[in-house]
Amino acid sequence: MTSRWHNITQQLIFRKVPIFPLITFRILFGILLLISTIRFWAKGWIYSQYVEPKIFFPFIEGIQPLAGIGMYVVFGLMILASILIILGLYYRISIFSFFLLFTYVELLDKTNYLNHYYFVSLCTFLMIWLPAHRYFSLDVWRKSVTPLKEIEVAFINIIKLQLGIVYFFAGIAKINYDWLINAQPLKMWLSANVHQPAIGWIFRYKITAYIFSWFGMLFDTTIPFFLSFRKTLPIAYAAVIGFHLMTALLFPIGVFPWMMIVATTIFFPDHIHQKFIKTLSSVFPGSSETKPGVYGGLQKAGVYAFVFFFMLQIAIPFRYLAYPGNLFWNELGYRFSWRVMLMEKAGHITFFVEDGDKKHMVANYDYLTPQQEKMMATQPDMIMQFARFLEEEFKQKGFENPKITTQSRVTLNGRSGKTFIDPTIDLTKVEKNQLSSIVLPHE
Amino acid sequence: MKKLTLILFSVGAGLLISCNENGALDKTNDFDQQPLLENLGNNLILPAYEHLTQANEALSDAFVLLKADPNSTTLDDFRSKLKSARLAWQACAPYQFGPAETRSLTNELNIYPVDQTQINQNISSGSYDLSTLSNIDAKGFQAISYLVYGDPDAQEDILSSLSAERLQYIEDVLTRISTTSSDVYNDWKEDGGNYISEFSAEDALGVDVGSSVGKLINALNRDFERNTRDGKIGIPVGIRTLGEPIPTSSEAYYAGYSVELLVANIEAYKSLYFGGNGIGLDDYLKAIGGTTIDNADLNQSIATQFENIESAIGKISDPLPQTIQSQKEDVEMVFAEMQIMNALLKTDLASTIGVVITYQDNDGD
Repeated sequence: MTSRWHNITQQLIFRKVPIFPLITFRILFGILLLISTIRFWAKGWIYSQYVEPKIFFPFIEGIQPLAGIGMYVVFGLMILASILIILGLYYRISIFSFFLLFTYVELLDKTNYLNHYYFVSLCTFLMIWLPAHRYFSLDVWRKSVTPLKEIEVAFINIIKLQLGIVYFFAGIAKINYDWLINAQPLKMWLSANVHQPAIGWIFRYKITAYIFSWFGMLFDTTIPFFLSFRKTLPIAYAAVIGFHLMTALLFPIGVFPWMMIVATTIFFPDHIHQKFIKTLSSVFPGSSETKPGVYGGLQKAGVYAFVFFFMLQIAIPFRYLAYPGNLFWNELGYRFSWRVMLMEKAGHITFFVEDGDKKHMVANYDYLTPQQEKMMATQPDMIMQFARFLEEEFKQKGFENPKITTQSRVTLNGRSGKTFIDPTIDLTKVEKNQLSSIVLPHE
Repeated sequence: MKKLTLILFSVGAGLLISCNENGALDKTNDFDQQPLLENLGNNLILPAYEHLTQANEALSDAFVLLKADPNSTTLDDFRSKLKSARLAWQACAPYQFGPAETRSLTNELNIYPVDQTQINQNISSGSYDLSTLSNIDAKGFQAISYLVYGDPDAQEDILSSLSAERLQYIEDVLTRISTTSSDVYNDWKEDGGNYISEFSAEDALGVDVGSSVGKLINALNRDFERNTRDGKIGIPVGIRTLGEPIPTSSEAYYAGYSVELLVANIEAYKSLYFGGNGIGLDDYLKAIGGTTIDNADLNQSIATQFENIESAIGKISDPLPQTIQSQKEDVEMVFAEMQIMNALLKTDLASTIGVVITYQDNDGD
């Protein structure tokens, strides 16, 4: 028993393997971070998401965007950090800074929450602890670290595991009635693509939505395993490319497909990575001599920390079980769970502030950007945040005892819209941990 | 290989169970956007801007006469041409995207209430730049209305008030209105900027933000909520001021035909929705009803809501400020019906068609 356990830990954690996959990952992932940060800036989103809005919906109370050109500095530093990550220069500092700055930005406003941002936060956090700069890097070249030829396999498996979790949870999230039996929301989303050249016509048919739904579920749940076996890897990676290119074509999901296509190269066999780096070193020579026999130095404490980190990630998607009601409807415990492209939801909510027998309607557009308004209208925690803001706002305007009620309508996956928030509830009287009490039941 | 067969088999079985056998190969979407866009562009939008441009030309002609000889006949004629132009604008209001958005047409034509003090200051100083932000509520139809009708409380004699400076100001405002409107019309025209063909081109299809349907739905939602629901009724009736009415913020406060403008505006939304005599959003919704779970008769709900709005408006009359005083609840009812429509358009309609309300990346809520 003990020796079997020993074998498993040896095989999955302490076995020494070439460092190459980690180096490729650092370079490719770094390039993606760089491109997506520049893209974000170029699209004017720093302004529209962090400068223009008058109020924000932070994940952590009190955290707010920097004033003036502050946010541009943050993104500028992120660009610098990602360049340093690619080069492997001041690696630990640059990856740590990137993680910190990126995560700070993502915590500023729930409006902009994306699963792939969460993925970037997690991945860059993990990379802080990986010896991804110990070969083919400027840190090696400037002799601040000794190069490594081999490292513990855990350093590579950690990334594989992280990717596996993303896919697997995205897959099991698809095992639900609407997705598999109603083929929703794909029936609606695919139908919006009938104009696409060459393939558009297939989206006119009901069966296409079913095939895509079922294939998507099977792909997500099984792909980590197929990528892990040498024999199935080529076909699995071809499927990864096909799947993500299809989603990039059909949905406005930005760099996420490219991120996954790039990141999953970590599953490639060592010799491919070695070749890749060899090709690179012929262009950028002088930084790849190694002294064999030095290892990454994985400590037991580190192993436990990683185990804890991943156990958290496995537990977090299930926290919704602690809340009553339909998860897709009330979204209590929805985020941070790899529920990607899973539902079509739209809402509209109007707030009324009452003082005595007088009633005032709030024009959301006076305070919120269209994007903020759209995201808030379907998410109870954001609705509460806005209600609290309004309470303060109207107290300052001289309302003594403002009472805040709502009129709302939300449609989920092609069902006729229904009232979302109990219109009789005064939101100023709702405690923070009573979010579920403000949402009306779905059926 | 065996595993693969097993997987494929279970997928097949799952599919068979989930699609009920007879419907599996049904088409759920047999709709093409192109004829819709061509119909809206050629038969509604372009004519609306053409009509607006013509109405503005007639208004400018009437102004020449008024300026040459201000008397009750030329004034009456100018006022009636002003009304025609304002009614013509109502048909353009739902289409504030593309050229109209680039040229800020709404800002030039129809910002209300206007700032009387600012207008009077501009006139007396004689030096003003109407393109600046500080003059945004000192121009447009309502500014002209103020100058040719006067403040209803002030009881002044308009003809004698029409000094050379005042007439000059009207002319300057009018020029901006005419130029911007005809610029937008030219941008749309086939032998002008030809936005009309861009509007229904292959690469403008779909529902992304850059698509024509995307722009159309977003523009109609924005205008309906802010200008129709709030601007025309909500704000004057006091929905945003603790129920305290603000008569001066009625769309035609000086001229006294706010309700008439509202009727024309709702008519424009109906034309857009039903596509006039051609293909409209109603046909779109009917054609893709099968892609929803239980929203196949959304079209019917929206049609009914148009009727509800119209019947609520039927109970109110001009001038709006007096009606608000005498039948506040009826006016509030108009607001309530428009609020329901607003929610229908913003949630069910946008969601069913799949329009993205955002410029940002998205991972499906």
